Order: sequence, then structure tokens, then C-alpha cells
Amino acid sequence: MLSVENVVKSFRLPDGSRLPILNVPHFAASEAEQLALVGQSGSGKTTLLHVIAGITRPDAGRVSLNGTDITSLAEAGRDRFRARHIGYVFQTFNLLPGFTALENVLLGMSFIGVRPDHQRARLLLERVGLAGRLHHKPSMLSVGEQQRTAVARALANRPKLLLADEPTASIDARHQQQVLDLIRKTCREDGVTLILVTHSREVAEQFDRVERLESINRLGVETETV
Amino acid sequence: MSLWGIAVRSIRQRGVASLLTIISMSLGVALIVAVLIVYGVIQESFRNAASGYNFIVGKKGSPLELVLNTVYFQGRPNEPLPWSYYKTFLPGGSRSDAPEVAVPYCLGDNYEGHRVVGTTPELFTAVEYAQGKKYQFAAGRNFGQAAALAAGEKLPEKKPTQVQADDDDTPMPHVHSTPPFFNEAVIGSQVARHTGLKVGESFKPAHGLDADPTLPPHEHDPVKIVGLLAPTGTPNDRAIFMNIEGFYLLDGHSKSGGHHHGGPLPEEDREVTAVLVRTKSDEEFAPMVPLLVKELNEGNEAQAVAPRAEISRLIDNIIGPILMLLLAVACLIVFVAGLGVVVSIYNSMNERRREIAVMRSLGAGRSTVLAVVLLESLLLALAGGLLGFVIGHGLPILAGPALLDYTGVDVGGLNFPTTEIRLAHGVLIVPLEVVLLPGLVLLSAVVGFFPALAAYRTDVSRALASSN
Repeated sequence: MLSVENVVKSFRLPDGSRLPILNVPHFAASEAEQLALVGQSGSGKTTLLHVIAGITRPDAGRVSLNGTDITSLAEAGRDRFRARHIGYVFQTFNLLPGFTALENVLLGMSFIGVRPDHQRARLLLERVGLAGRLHHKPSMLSVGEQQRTAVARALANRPKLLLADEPTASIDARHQQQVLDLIRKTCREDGVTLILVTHSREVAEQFDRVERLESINRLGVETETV
Repeated sequence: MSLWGIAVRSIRQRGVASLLTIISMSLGVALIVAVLIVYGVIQESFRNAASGYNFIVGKKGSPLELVLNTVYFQGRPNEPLPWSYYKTFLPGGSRSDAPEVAVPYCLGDNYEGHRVVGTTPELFTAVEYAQGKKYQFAAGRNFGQAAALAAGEKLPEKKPTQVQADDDDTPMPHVHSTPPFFNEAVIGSQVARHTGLKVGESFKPAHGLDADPTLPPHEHDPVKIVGLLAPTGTPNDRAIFMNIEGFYLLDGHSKSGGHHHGGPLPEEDREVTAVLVRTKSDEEFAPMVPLLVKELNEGNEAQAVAPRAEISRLIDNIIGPILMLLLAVACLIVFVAGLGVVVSIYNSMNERRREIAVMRSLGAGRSTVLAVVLLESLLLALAGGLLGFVIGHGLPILAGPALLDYTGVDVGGLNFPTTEIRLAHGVLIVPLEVVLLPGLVLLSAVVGFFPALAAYRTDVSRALASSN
């Protein structure tokens, strides 16, 4: 379902030289699979997620999702593909502060070329336990509620793949498990493939498949920062 | 959620900065609207003021001066023309073919600074003060015997003439017997407001053109106010119109000097400052008008001036450029306000880079985020424009009564100056504000371009990395 082949990514430094970040000969995930991606800071986890999401284009290699070669698409095409097929959950939630919870979910539906489905947005928020918080702005929500809103937003367009970049790292211990359970449960129910980046051993141990980035990235820990 | 919705929420999120931007934009637009209103009102007021007649005949001199002192009661009147010259425009006169109406104007007196004009009742019955608008009386009636009789008044009984015995050396008391209805006047609405004069009351005009307490009033019968004109929005609102027959009988108004008692002033002692002439509109007489004007101007005694042409020249050469300058300043203010929009949006770009990156990560294309920022700029400009429109029209409405009182010009606020747009199949007359709209849209596009470009170029990976 997801296939990453021979992906190479480097960044140009101010002095003109290039800093290699990724060299992934092969990485794949099957439909509805849930896997944890672990690795040291600066090992390129976030960069790999950005490459998979089509936010960043690799220097070489191929990323395909359900047979679509994302890397061959032009930027606008990657944007459209991402909007329709890939959900993204951030460590710091990245909700837009001027938008209510409902509007943040609707925002997630706004770039696929069809009218946002208000009913689905409400249902998603109810599903993540925020039925009574639809019209609250992020500043009025707890961090756990904010991340649940972000999960609802990421699932808004029925994606095939959900990329979660340390989604529990900014949440207090009490709510971490709730959010993690929510993400895993909703992905399972919807048949969504989940790649969850984490630093936490406790979180990683809950997944049947755990990938160390150092093992799939030939550059290993030699890379410093993204 | 539509791009409009996203732009609106983004504006609301930066409420104070957005509000300040809108206010600064609105002040610039309000200034433009106010200048346009004033420009329109001045043009209309100037042109209306000279409605109802084709040309003014006066003593040879400056044409503009003749128009200014006859129509606007500004400056010193020209030297007078003899009554016989005026009579040539009346039926039976040598120039009577083309004129339909010829109204004499005698100037030189004032009451508390308001010009007193000696004229005939035809001014209010045969001349319109603006296109299609006849004079109306808010109270009372026109001056003169005909109007008095029409109003049901009766001629007063004649008093026995006081005769002095030949052997009586005691001087005659200074009493004048003025024929009935001679000493009557009609006052403009502004005169009533400023002086408090009412119909039925009397006043004594003074020599000169401006109020001068050092000059004594005429020692003559007081002039009775018989009518109050409804406001016309013309300089006539600030004038007092007196029966010319009574005017001639005031001290010093006889050409030969001295007093005249007991009846109308003989024609040889009469003079007129100007004559307002409206020519016949029939096709038969139309060709005669330029001939008449040419003939009048060729002589050494008088000139015929088309007031509208003089006023147009005045507007085009003096008032127009001043107003254009004001307009340019107002446009500059709007431009500076536009720069405020740039600064406001651009300053917010740092904090917005993350939001833009989030939108991009959700699938928004570069062109989408560019459009959102441009829409924001457009909405700020349009909101500022709308508020400016309200202020620009609202202030004249609020200040209208005071301005009317001070200048005699009804600025209103609901005046919509218009402009002509030439189309392939004709001319479209639209309010100038409609022309402002594309200007504001263009301005918003220009000022929104740089922040929009910054949004367009946002490096999503970097912005997302910095937010985590």
C-alpha cells in the first residue's frame, strides 16, 4: 500500500554544501497496518514523514501510495493528493487559533475541491469525545482536547494513511494513553494505515511493528539535525 | 470552508490590528468621498446659482466680476447702466426680439451684511432658481402691488398731501410719502436665520455692501418684509430682494442725487447694476441670441456675459485644480493607509507562517494560501472603503445644517457625485464611488501582493519544524 523506494533527501547548507538526511532503500506499510517509527532526535523521522506526505520532494527515489507515485507529481498535484489521501497529526497539534474546533475540522476538508461536509465534521468531533466543544477555540480546550481535535481534522477526508508525528509528546501523562488509544482505534475502524513517530518506549511497545529509523535509513545516526 | 471564510477568520483573529487598518483606510476613503461630495456640490451649486437666465448684461468690465457680484453677491458691483439701456430689452425696445425675460438688478446696499437687491417681482415669477425649480415662498408673498392684490390685500386709502404755506418759515418735517407696496422686500432663508427677521417686520437698509456700524442707515421709511423664500441652496438665500421702485426712493439712489418724494423715481434718474436676460427658446429666435450678445459686447458701454461659461471657467481654472489637489492628497492618504495594510499583514506573516504551513500540510496549494492573503487584503480594503463611504457621507449629513448656516450651501451628504463612463453604445452615468471600488480592489491587490508572495513562498517543512 505504502512503498518508499531508494529515497534520498539532503538539505543545502548556507555555505552551499549539502547535508544528507535520508537514504532509505526500502520501507513499506500495508493497508490498515499500524507501526511505530522510533529514532533518535535528528535521525530524519520528520523529514521521512514530510517526504511520504509529499510536503518535501526527495532528491531521488520513489514514494507511492496505493499505486500513485507521489514523487512524480508536481507540487500542486502532491498538495491535492495529500488533501485527499493523507492525514497528518502534529506534536504541537497546529490548530489554527482563530478557528473553533469545528472550523478547524472543516478547514481540513476545504482543500479537496468539494464543499466541506459539516455533518461529518460534527460526527468526527463527537467520535473523539468533543460533542460539547464544537464551537470552542483552541485556547479554550485542554491540550488533550486540542490533540483530539487535530485527530478529527486529520481524519476529515477519510485518508488512506495517517502520519502522526509524536502526537502524545506534548500531552500530560494522564491524557497520553487516551489520545493514543483514540488514534489507533479510529484508524483501525476506518482501515487507515498509521505511521506514528514517537520517542516513547511505552508508546512504541504498544505497536506490533516498530521500526527504528536507524535501521531503515542508511545514514543512521550520523545525521545531526533537520 | 470557503477561502472567504478562512480570510474572514484570519482577519478576526488579528482583531485589533485589522480594526486599526480598516479605520486608517476608512479615513482616507472618507476624505476622498467628502472631497467628491464637496466638488459635486460646489459644481452643482455654482451652476444652479446661474440658472434661469442665459446671460447677464452689465457695465463693460471684468466678465467674472460681473458674474460674481450679480450671482454670488461677492466683490464690488460694476458701474451702473442707465435705465434706458435696460428698457431696450423690454417689449418695444430695440433689443426686445430675443429676450423673453429681462430682470433688473440694483446693488449697493446691505442689511447686517446681507446684500439688498433692488429688482422686479418677475425675478420670482418668471425666473427659475435651478433647472425646473421655481421659487417658493415659505411664508408671505412676493413684493409689489400685483402680488399684494392677488393675496387679497387692499390698496390703502390716499392720505391728504401735506402742503406748506408760503409764509411759513418753519422747516417741513422729514417725512416721505412712499407709494403703497414700494417699500416691500422678500428675504432669503439664510437672512431670516441670521437676522431673525420675520414676515411682517421691517428693517432699514444701510449704504455699502458689507455691514458697517459706522455708516448710518438710510433715513427713510423702513422696508417691510412681505415674504420669506424657501431655501434654494443658492446665494439668493443670503440676499434681501426689494421692490426696485422702493429701492430707487432710498437715500442716494437717484442718479441726480437728493430725495424724491411722492411717486416713482423718474426714469432719467434710474440706473441698474445688471440685467438678467433669458432669451426665447423658440427656434425662430435662437439664431438671434449670439447676434444680440455680439452686438452688446461690441459697444463700449455694456457687456453680455454667459454666467455658466464664466463659472465653468472659474471651476476649471481655479476651483477644479484646488479640488483635484485635495483629491490627490486624499488618494495619497488612502495609499498610505494601503501601506498600513501591507505592514499589518506583513508583520503578522511571522506568526502566520506556521498557520500557512499547517494549511499547506492539510493540502492547500501555494496559490490557495496566496489567494487567502489577497482576499484578506481585499476584505480589509473593502471594509475600510465601506466605513469610509459611511463616514464620508455621514459627516456631511451631521455637519450639513452648520455648513448650510455658514455657507448657504446645502452640502447634504446624500449627494452622489457622478461621472460619465463612455461605452460603445452610449454614456453610462454612475456615482463616483462606484469608480472608487475598482480602485480599492486594485489597491488591495497591490498592497496584498507582498505578504501574499511571502505566504506563497513559505517553506512548509521549515515552518512546521520550527513550530514543533
